[in-house]
Formats: sequence, structure tokens, C-alpha cells
Amino acid sequence: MSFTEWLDRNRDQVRELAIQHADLCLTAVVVAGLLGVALGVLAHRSRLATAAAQAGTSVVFTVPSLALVGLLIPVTGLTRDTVLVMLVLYALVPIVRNTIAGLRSVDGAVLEAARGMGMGPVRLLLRVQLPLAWPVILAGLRVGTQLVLGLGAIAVYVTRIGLGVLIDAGLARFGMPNSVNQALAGTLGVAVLAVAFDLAWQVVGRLTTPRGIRA
Amino acid sequence: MPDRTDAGRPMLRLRELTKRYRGQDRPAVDRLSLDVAAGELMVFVGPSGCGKTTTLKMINRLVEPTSGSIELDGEDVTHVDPNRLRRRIGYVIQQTGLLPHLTVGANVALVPRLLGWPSARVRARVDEMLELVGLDPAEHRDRYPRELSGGQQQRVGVARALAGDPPVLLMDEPFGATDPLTRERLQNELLRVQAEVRKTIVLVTHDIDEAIKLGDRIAVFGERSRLAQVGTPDEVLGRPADPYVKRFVGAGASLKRLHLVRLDAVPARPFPTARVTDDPALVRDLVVRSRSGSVLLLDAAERPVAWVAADDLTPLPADLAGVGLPATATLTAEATLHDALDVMLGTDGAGVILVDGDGRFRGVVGLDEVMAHVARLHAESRRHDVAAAAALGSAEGAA
Ligand SMILES: Nc1ncnc2c1ncn2[C@@H]1O[C@H](COP(=O)(O)OP(=O)(O)OP(=O)(O)O)[C@@H](O)[C@H]1O
Ligand SMILES: [Mg+2]
Repeated sequence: MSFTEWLDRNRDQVRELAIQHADLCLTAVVVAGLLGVALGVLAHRSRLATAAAQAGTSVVFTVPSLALVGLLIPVTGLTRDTVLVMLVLYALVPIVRNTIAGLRSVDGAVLEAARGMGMGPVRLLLRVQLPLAWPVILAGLRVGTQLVLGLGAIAVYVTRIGLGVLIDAGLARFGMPNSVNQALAGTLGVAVLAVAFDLAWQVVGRLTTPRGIRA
Repeated sequence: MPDRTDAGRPMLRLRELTKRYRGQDRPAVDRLSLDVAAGELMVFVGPSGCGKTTTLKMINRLVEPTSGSIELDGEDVTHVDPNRLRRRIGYVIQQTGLLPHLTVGANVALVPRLLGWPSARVRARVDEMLELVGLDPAEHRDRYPRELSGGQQQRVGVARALAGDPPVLLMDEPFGATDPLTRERLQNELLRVQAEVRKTIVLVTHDIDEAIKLGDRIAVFGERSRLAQVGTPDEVLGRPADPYVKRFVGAGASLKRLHLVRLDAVPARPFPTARVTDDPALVRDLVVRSRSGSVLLLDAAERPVAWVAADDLTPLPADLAGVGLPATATLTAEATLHDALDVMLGTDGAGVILVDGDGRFRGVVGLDEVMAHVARLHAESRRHDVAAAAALGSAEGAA
């Protein structure tokens, strides 16, 4: 059976798994985004906190994803939550890093002038620092999203959700009829989601980046 | 030159102001006391690292003083809420610090918005300020800072600092990053704006020429904010308080003083003139009889057109249009002796033509008149030096 034929027959299952996958990853990105920007904002002011936040998030990268899952299972069990926590932890790495880098890249003269005009710290953050750091933060969110979409495929080892289900099944039955089609559908599905999410980020970026600082 | 206003009440009083940065054993600013009168443009000048910026930033509390006090318009502001204070003090820095993600209009509107002005008033104020600094509001209001030239950005910085109508304006090397031509234009504009708004301005520079040009008074800083001299530009140039100031003011102090003398301070010579429409033969008679051997031709509106000499009139032309050397070296009475000298050296040294605001001929200023004035300045300085030496001598004698 050709790939398109196979896809046509299993359309409903593929669509459902893709939606699960997208839902899982979107949730992870939103949570990691809020958490990561908040952490970055808190950390960027002090060199020590910056170092701590960066070291903390980097440690996540050094732990193999399956090992991380293994560590989490005793706490959250074989649930979607375990996967979610793992994905959030990974997504935090680029988001926190970029938030800190973005905030630090804001021109000191701009901050001094804004302060000199009587902007307090909260106003400064919301009206000056975050808007100016936004393109860099956005880049972190994009990288985090890609990371989460790829890693989302290993959710299947915890609980049977997401496009990983197709990849896992295809590989497990390798050599059997349609096993390649199945694995290919899972892999391509992730790629399509990745492209779609990235396009979405580009639209968001376009709409939210002030014209004065657009590249 | 700007008039002195130190007779007025002080708008700013700095008392024993001291800043000791953490981890430094010597204070960056050490017990500095200084008054700045309302409406006065005070320039801080001094070598790098002498604490000019630190002093300036203590006034708007971007740097918290270690000790000492600051009074703004009679009120002790050393411990008031800095954000409120800063909305009453305009701040202009060299790098402009315009918010790049906001339009020019929004940048100018920042402080008025922080002050809670109604939006119609804010809008009107933005346009008023842009006009004040010579930017067409319709054309520039909706642009982003990066779409402006450096000089235009600096103008927006000034407009923004003035928008909240603060009584005090602090400027830290506002024109330091611009090319000489732009810098001169911005300096002239600042003087024009200041004549209009009469703010109390403290401006930092390390360019003594800029200080001389802009300052009603100059504070010459030495090491660690020691105030070596505070005085009018003429005092600092003509009667430097000590060898340090003398060295800082540099060679050519007498040349620099020419910046401070307006052309109307020296007598302009009358000069034989004729109309372009006059009979060439009559003009030739005039030339022959004139002491300088030339006559200045004026047009119907009495504006200088050309110098004509006997050579230009032999053979006698049918009419005087296009005859002679074009008379381009004109200056108004607001120009300085320095400008005049510059023009004279640039042309053939004959002299500059003094015109009024409408370009009408008023007289001629020659090298002789300028030199006579320089000689007077020199004599004054020498008298001062002799007096100072005498005072020093008697002080030493007493000790
Ligand atoms: N934030 C700071 N922390 C520690 N030391 C500082 C700080 N800012 C300035 N200093 C020091 O204080 C002294 C005065 O600095 P300041 O910036 O006031 O000098 P300045 O007169 O403005 O010099 P310049 O003409 O170079 O701008 C210098 O020795 C400088 O190194
Ligand atoms: Mg400085």
C-alpha cells in the first residue's frame, strides 16, 4: 500500500493523534513561556541569579529525556502530566536564556533616559524592557516550541498519546506491512506541526513587534 | 552673548554634595556646593572622570548622593520620591536614549503622559515641542527614531526633555556625538530655544569652546569635582582663577574671547556706497575720491551687491549690473568678532560688511577695528595679571 493510500485509510487516527500532540506541546509552550519569561525577568538583574538560572536550566539539557521521565514517574505517575513537566523543563532552557539575553541587550542609554524621565521599575519593565527584549524572547519561544514538538514524540513511552504513538508502533512492527508508512506518518506529522507552529510564531511576531524595532 | 542671570534666586542649590561609589576609597564628587540661578545656563566643564556626570545625575537622583543636599526651587529634594522629582527635571544625554519602539511623537509625549495630562493637551504639546526644536510635526511625529538623522534625534531628545515643562533641564554632553557642523547648528538652536523658554539648564561638556559659547556661567571642574572657578565665560577666559584653569582654557584664550564679543561692540566704519542703477561715470568719480579706492554697490533694497574699484570701471561700462567683485562677506550685528575675523581671513582681508536683519547695508568692519578691540582685551588681562601677582605677593609677604 502506498503512503497516501495508508494515510487515507487511517486519516481519523492520525488526525486525533496530531491534535493530541499539538495540544500537549502548546500547553507546554504556554506554561514554559509564562514561567520562563518570569524567571528571566527575576534573574536578569543580578549576575548571580542569571548564572543560577542558566546553570539550572542547562542541567535539564544534560539529563537524557528518558532519564528525566524516569525521575518524574515516581512523582506524577504514568500520566500526561509527567510528559508535560518534562516538556516544560526543556522548553524553559531557551526561553529563560533568551529572556535574560534580551533584557540584557536593551541599550543602557535607553534605560537611563527612561529612568531619568521618571519611569518606575514596573513601568520600565512593561513599557520599555519587555517590548525591546521581545524579538529575542520570541526567538527563544520559537526554539522552545520546536524542541517541545520533537520531544513530544517520546510521550508515548509514558502514556499512549501524540504522534509518537505512530512512530513507536511503526518501529516496533518494523518489516511488517505498512510499518514504514505508520512511522513516516508520525514523523511527517511532527514536521508539519513544527512548520505550522513556526508560521504561527512568525505571525505573532509580526503582530507584536513594534515597527520601530522590526528588523 | 547671553545675558547674566545670576542676580536671580537660585533654582538649584547643591550643598556639600558628595558621592562615594562603592568599592572606591576616594569620593567621585567631594563636598561640592554650587548655586544655579533660575533661567541660567550653567556649563560644567572639566577633564574626563572629574565627576561632572556624577554631579549631574545626583541632581535627578539617578545617582543617590552619599551626603549633602539638593534644593530645587527652595524645596529640599534630597529625599523625595525620585520618580516624581525626575518628571520635574528634563534630562538629555549624548546617546539620546530615545525609546526605539515608540514614534517620535510618543517619545515626546512620555513625560506629559506620566504627569497625567489630558490627551488633547499632550497632542498639542508634542507638536509645540517639535516645532520649537525645528522639526515639522506633521512630517516627523509618526516616524521612528531610527528613521531620523543623529542631529534630528538629538533635537527630539531636547523636545522630549522640555515636554513636561520642567523648570530645570540637565544635559550631559548633548552634542558630543555629532559632527562639527551639526554640533554648531544644535548649539545655536539650543541658544535660540533657551532664549524662548528660559529654563534653568545645567549642561556638561568637556569642550571648553562649547562651554564658552553656551554658558551664562561656567563651572570649571578639577580633580574630584574641585570647583576651580565658577564665572562668566569672559571671567574664565580673561581672569582665570589659577594656573589649572589657565591651562584648561588653553592657548588662544584671547582668540576665544572674540567669540564673546558681538560685532556691534566695535564701531562700524561708514563706507562710500552707490546704487547699481547709478550712472557709471558718477560712480567712477566717487571711486577716485574714496580713500580705499573702492565703492560698495547696493541694490534697490540697500543690500550689498558688489565692490567696485577703478579697474572695474575702465573702460566705462554702459551700466553697473555684474560689475565688480561680488560682495558676499556680510554679517549681522549678532555675529561675533570671531566670525568677522574668520570671514576676513577667508576673503581678501578687506573687511566684512555689516547688514541688518533684512540684509540692508549698515557699515564695514575692518581688521583694524578688530585688532583695536583685541588690544583692549589684552590690556585688561595684563592689568588683571599684575593685580593678581601683586595680591599674591602681599599675601606671601603677610605669611
Ligand atoms: N557607576 C559607577 N561606579 C563606580 N565608579 C563610578 C561610576 N560612575 C562613575 N564612576 C567614577 O567616578 C568618577 C567620576 O565619573 P564621572 O562619570 O562623573 O566623570 P565625568 O566628569 O562625567 O567624566 P567624562 O567626561 O569622561 O564623562 C570616575 O573616576 C569614574 O570612574
Ligand atoms: Mg560624563
